[in-house]
Amino acid sequence: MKDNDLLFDLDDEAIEKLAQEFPVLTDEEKERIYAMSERKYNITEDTNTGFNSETEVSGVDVYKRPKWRTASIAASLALLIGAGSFGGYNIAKQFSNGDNNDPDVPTTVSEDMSQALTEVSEDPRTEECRKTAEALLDEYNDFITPYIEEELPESPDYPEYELTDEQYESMSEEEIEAYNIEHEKLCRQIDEEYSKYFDNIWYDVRSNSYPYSTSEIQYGYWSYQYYSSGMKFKNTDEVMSKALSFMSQSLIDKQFPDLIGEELTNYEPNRIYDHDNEDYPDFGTYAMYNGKLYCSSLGCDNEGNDHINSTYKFYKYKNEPAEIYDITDDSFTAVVKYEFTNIPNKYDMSMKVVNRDGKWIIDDIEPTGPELDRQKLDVIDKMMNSVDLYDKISAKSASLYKIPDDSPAKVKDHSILFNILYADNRAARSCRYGYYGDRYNGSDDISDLAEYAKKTIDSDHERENEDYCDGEKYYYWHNPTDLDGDDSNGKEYEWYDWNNYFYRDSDADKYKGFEALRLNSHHEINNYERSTYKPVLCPNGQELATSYLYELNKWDITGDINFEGRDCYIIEGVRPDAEYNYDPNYEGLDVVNFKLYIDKETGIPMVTMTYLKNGDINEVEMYFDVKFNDKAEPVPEQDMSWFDTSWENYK
Amino acid sequence: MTDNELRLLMADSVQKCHRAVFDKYCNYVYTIAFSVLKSCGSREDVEECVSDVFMKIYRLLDNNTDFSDNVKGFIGAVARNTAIDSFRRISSRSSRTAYVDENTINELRDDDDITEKTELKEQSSIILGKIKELGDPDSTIIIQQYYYNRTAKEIAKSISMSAAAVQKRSSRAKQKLRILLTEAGINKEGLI
Repeated sequence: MKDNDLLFDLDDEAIEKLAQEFPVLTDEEKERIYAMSERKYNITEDTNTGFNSETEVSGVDVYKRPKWRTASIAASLALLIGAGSFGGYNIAKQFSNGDNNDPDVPTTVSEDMSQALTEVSEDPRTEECRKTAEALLDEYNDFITPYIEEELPESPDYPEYELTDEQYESMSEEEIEAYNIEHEKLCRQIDEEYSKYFDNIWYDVRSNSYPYSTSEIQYGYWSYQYYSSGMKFKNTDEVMSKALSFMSQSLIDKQFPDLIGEELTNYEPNRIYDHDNEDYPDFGTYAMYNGKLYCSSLGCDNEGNDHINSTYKFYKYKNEPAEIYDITDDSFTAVVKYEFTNIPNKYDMSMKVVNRDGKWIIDDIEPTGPELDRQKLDVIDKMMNSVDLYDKISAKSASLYKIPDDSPAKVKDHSILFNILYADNRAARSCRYGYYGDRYNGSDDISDLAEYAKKTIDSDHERENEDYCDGEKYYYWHNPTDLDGDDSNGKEYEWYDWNNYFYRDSDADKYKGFEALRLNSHHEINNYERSTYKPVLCPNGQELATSYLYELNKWDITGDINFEGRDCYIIEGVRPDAEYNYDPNYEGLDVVNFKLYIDKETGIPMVTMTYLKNGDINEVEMYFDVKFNDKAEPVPEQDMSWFDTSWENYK
Repeated sequence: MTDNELRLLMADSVQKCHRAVFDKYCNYVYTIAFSVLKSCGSREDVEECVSDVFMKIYRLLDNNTDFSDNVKGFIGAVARNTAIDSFRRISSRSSRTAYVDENTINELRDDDDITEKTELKEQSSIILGKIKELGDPDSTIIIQQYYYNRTAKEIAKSISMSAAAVQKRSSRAKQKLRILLTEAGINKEGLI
């Protein structure tokens, strides 16, 4: 295998990132390796190989714990994008209101598209309108792809860097260096030649001019391409002219808010701009630079074709005839069916088509779906914002896992993880520690479980995990691994600079809450901005809201209950992404249904119960002894002065 | 995946547990094995190694090993150790001298030059960041092509794209990446 020398030295964290973000195995390979592992296992199953787990995992390598304990929360947390980083259309407001009455939204639509539509299947003009709508949809789809792929210039072939091992070893350092210089020279010559046909420029805007600092905030990265052939337009005027040939200006402003950016010629490309102290361009999808049109496309379809950015994205076109409503002499509404859109709870694209000066154009586009329940949105808002109480709650918690009833296991019980949380009602000072308790084999009744947990929990029990924040640094430790990877120094903690990761009150105004959720093509909420994700030690509902509740038609408020002195809503529902992520290998083991007790005042999930497909309980997590503000149990004093938090040990 | 979840899965069905553990961690284990073996082994060697790792994990599960909620770390450690064993085995059977990369030298000799290692890792981290900046699917294509040595056809299959589209995007992504890396002060001769 040839070593390409790319990413030649990866640490554990990078390997983990690579495996997670760029999985390489195909299904076929997976099956082959899986079969191989099973075969080996079955061959060795009956023979005592003397394999010893302790000797196997000790020694050469020591596990380094992932950086942040609540990374799973981060992973599932929504992308809380402001609608357009630079003054885009505020989609959030529209979503939260359930209709389109935002005064900032430029639209000429005289009536609200979310109102009940009147189907006019009997109208003789229906078929003609459908044809018009589908022709406009074709224009729209053509417009969102910026290039004619087959006309783009071919990329050049660079000379291979192929020194064999033998050659490499037989050459002197000077010869190798000379080879490298020559090779690079050839590559640069090709670059120069190719630059006549292609150019790429980029702009990076950050709040801290030190490029790789952990404390900087990246405001955006724009990468623009120019091709001498294959681009659909030559300049921004052509872009606008094409857009206006089938869309109204108000729709362009709404769906493509940053379509035309500022002329880039006067801004130096390919460098990082200091957000606080420098002027940088008003970026757009298309922009002129030195007399040429550049495009910043931001996505692609399965044919590899680029797509320009848009406010609404529509996933999985159903290829069903458009439904036509509300036909008048100079307007009608066409509903185009998609599997879903990037806005949760919206499933179709409704196009308002109008006749302007004898020409049909799309005047408005909006993802449409059922009207949203205000009470449900309020519950979600509270859950998302419950993290604001990060330093104001002390509580105890118990997580119970249950062996399924039909399991052949001899002991059918719950295992319990207890946690005790403290807060000082002072910013960013909190502590949590826990341990595995004795197993529970009583009933599944929630009051029995709660009674058992309250009776059994012991704050003085030997700790098996601990998270502690002194207001500046966040330390964590989990039994039994020496987390810094060095057996010799006796250190058992790792640490972070808390302020780089932790939620601060000043972040509150950046927090867009549930209103800004965005779905990807797999119907998952998978992006987030670090400045708005709030990893905290306190109980909070953000993960539940973004994992389980974003599709409002998949859950209901089914009652009220007082649990441990707190008035709660009872919420029951089905996981919204279950059908998109169905995996037959986990048949029966996937969490499908859930029941929650959500504190009405604060949005804290007092009880979370998850169920397997067969209806068996999978896990119960509950909070009790919950105290707020001044009544919260203070953080026990801890002396961490012994711990080395020098820069070399920074994680 | 927690120790409890593993216990639950094992109790339900050994087969299901194996499958679940494999599905969850196969990419992680493969990446570890590949990172150790990429300089000396074939793709088949890597697959052999990965299957060895899972065989060992299944045995550990049989022995009711306490993973103490560090399941991933535990599996990672088994993977790395198994891969290093494979590396030694492959190197010794190979008639030619295997090219040993910095990382593996450090693993084997344990005589780290910390400064150099840190610099290399930092550089790798920057490269990975720049590749990510390319955005999907370009970043996936570059990683699969230039780290995992996959062909355009193989990549096309894995990301539901035509091979021609992969080629096209790959050429363009390479071009972009060259510029990004040069601007970041990294000149990787022969990289792209």
